[in-house]
Amino acid sequence: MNNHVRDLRGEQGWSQADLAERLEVSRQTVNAIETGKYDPSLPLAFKIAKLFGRPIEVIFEPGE
Amino acid sequence: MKDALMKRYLHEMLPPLLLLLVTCALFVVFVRQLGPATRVAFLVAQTGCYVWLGVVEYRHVMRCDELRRQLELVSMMLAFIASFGVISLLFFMNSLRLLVVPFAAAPLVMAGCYLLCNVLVRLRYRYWALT
Repeated sequence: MNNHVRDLRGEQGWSQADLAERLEVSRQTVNAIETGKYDPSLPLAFKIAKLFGRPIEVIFEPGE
Repeated sequence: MKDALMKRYLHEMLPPLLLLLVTCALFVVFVRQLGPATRVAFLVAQTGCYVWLGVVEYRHVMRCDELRRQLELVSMMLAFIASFGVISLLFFMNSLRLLVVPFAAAPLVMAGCYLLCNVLVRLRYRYWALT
């Protein structure tokens, strides 16, 4: 799964810790999602989409 | 949020841990004077403390974020595979008289495998927080 979480976070000028606090997860979780090591659960993916105000399929795309 | 989670964890973990340590210390001091009933009482106290600790640990992990829960799941699965393999190997080596392995080695192998697997999985996700 590919995602644009890092880019969207950058647009907002948030650090990983800022985003983690808003999502109520650890900073390590945000880092693992951004680096593609971890695919978030559906509830967390929806939370991310809602936070950035984008459709979920724009943020997360199926990988090769 | 993380500090509150850790405080709650420590607050819940301390009573069963202290009780476990106290019963162990009492056992070591009075082991030669214990009758059968007291020995059974010791075993019941130990089992109770262990169950209590297990419940506290489980509830703590369930309150942690989803990556931490995945990390625990993966490390426990890997630890089970590794420790079951090592203990089976030691059992057969013992049975074939290739090596004398005391029974007390089994929990040490299990704990060692869990710690090793947990560290490896934490390295994979670069996850070092305790909460």
